[in-house]
Amino acid sequence: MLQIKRFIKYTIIFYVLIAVVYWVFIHPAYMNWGATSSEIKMNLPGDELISSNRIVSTRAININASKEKIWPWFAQTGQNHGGFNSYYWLENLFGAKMVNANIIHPEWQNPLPGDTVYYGKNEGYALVALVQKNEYYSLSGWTFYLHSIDTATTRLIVRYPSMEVRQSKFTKLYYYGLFEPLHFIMETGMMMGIKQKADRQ
Amino acid sequence: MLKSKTNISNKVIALNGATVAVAAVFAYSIIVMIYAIIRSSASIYSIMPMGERNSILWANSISVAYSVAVFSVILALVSSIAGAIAAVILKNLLLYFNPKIIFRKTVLISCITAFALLTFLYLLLYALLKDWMTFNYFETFSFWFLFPAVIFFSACVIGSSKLNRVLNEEL
Repeated sequence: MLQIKRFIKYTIIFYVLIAVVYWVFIHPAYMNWGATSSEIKMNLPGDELISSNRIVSTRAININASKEKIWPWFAQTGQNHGGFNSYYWLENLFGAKMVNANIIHPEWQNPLPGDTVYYGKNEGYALVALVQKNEYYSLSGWTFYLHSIDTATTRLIVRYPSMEVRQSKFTKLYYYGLFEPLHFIMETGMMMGIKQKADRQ
Repeated sequence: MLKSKTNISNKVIALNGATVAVAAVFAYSIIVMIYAIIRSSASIYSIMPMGERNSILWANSISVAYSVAVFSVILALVSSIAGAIAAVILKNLLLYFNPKIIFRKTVLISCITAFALLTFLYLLLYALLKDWMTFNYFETFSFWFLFPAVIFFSACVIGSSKLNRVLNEEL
């Protein structure tokens, strides 16, 4: 029993260390992972859907492909379509029943405002708010914006409006303890997943 | 009756059961943490160019570790209740059905008890989650059902074997 108690004690110490590293080094950097200061400040389509009391993250990545090659992967976003191109095995741990498509499906290439995009089977959903082929795609203010650097390179900029600043303690605990780090993992996973698929083309 | 002779109170047994449950959740969480970090890092490594790789590898790994740690603390609190109840049930069943403290009988009783408690827990989970429960994906099935069941079963059998020894020494 003494060994078990010692194991619990060391695990708690380890968890506290992880939390310190996370809050001191990781959290400040990852809110705007990959984005330049001008990208963080720039206006994006869909910003008008974000209320001023929200915590907003802006993340960016370079993709070695033209906008036209990247766009089809966004067009088929959603559990009810081609998945989110992120870590499907993590999503499926929580019953999302996610399958990431490895090919472009022509029947899902014309998303329209008002279309429903599911995050998981029988789970939450969002409506497509704004869509401009080869340019941007926004799910209730969660915007994916494509910016050409040259003919073969595109900057993908993702803006996400998350929790409102004023919240109950329980919501804050859920948000800072689970939602925010998990969203970072899944969103960057999605950005890299799309990069991988578009780069391959 | 042997039950009245033992000095080990239900409170002590419940505390030990809760402690074992917390340790089991922590151990399982660390395995899950390592698995998730390795698997996601392998994806990142294969996608990101060398100059941009390190920062995202670190950020991803620490974020995975942090969220698993938070999740495991919540689960540990819930599991400690289940562990405490299971330990008290086991002790009382052992004393009732196995007054001579025979080791083989102890193992048999603990196996039956673990199986019954697991069945109850999973039926309860099914009633709460319904369609969210899926066996279509090996990861989901293993993560939520197979591995926790193995850990719970092992904890019950090993725990009752230790209890068997303690009761033997005491009585």
